[in-house]
Amino acid sequence: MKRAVALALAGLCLLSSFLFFPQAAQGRAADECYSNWNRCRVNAFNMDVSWYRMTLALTVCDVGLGKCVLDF
Amino acid sequence: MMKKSISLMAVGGLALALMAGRGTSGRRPVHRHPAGDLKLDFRTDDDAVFSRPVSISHDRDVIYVIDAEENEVRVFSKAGTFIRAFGRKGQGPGEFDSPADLDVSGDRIYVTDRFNKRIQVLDRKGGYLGGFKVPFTPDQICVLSGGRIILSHLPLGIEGREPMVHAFSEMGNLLWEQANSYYSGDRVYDAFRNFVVMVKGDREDILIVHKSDERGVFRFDKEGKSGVAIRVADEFEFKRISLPIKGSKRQVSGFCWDATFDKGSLGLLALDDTEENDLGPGREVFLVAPDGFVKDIIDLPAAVTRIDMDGDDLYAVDTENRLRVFRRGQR
Repeated sequence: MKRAVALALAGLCLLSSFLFFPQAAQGRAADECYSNWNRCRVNAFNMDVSWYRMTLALTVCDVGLGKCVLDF
Repeated sequence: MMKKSISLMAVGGLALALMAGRGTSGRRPVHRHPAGDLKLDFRTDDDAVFSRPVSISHDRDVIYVIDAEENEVRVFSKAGTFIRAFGRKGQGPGEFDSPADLDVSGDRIYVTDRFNKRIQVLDRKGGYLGGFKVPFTPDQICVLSGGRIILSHLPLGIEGREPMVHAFSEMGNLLWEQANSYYSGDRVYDAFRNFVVMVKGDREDILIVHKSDERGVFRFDKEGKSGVAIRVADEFEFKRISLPIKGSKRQVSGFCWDATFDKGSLGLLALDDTEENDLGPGREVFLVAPDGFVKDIIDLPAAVTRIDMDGDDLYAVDTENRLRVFRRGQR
């Protein structure tokens, strides 16, 4: 009985560590994606291009964000 | 926060209704003033063109231009002489990562250091005096008396509405937040809706001008209380455009490209139609009185992207990224 409980606890520890570490790495990556996206948007606004072009630039930033998040 | 935004909307709405009721029923004469180029040669030792000029401001003697790409503040005399430049890319004191705006108070220059997410306080020669971090990407800055530092930022629009105007003390303590952003979940459209210009008024207050879809100019005093909004009269027309947002066309009403405030007048840089049925920066600056009426229109000889009014002079960045000075009445 004791052995079964110890094995179950060890299994839980192992499982939670596997679950935890990928999530932390994913969190960092997603933060980086959003940081790059914010930089992209600000640059789009700073370019002082006409509105249609700015819309396209902002859309490109959004597509880049989606791709970045999906890649991780 | 909810109560605050509801009360803000109520006060703003009431003010707009009052202004609309009495303001625009009759038209007042609007005077046009051509402005001439003083043809000053604003060049540094080796360059007359900026890479990405994002802000112009002046104080009693000098003009400051921020070049976001060069991470530099360039200082010129009002006669066009280059005085100095300070700043470079980095994270240390006196270094910037895409500076966005500055304001001068006494002998101190306050700069929004955008991607370092901080405010830097410098002396007039660019020497580092201090600063503080902020939890967002700061954009425009106005420093009011008593060391009230008012900041705006472009909301991310990821998790709903968020305040766009924040007040800090000199020590970097948050004092108040206002002006909740518009949120529809469409990040491109919301970016247009939330793109604002913040200018300092003449009563220790700030004015928030939306670049699209909003004719009302909102006012906050230094305690964060919303006051009477200006409803800009219809002589200053919206420019409508269909933008390809989320694959389909969506109507956006363009309002202005930039704004400035001087001696009781709000100056709005009009948008202009381009040859490709697009909207670009214009060559007219409309001067709006506190009651919302347009009283003067300044005709510029060239389209410009940034303006800063100083009496009869208008400092501006043209579409080729050159700093120019236009004078009202000069031909």
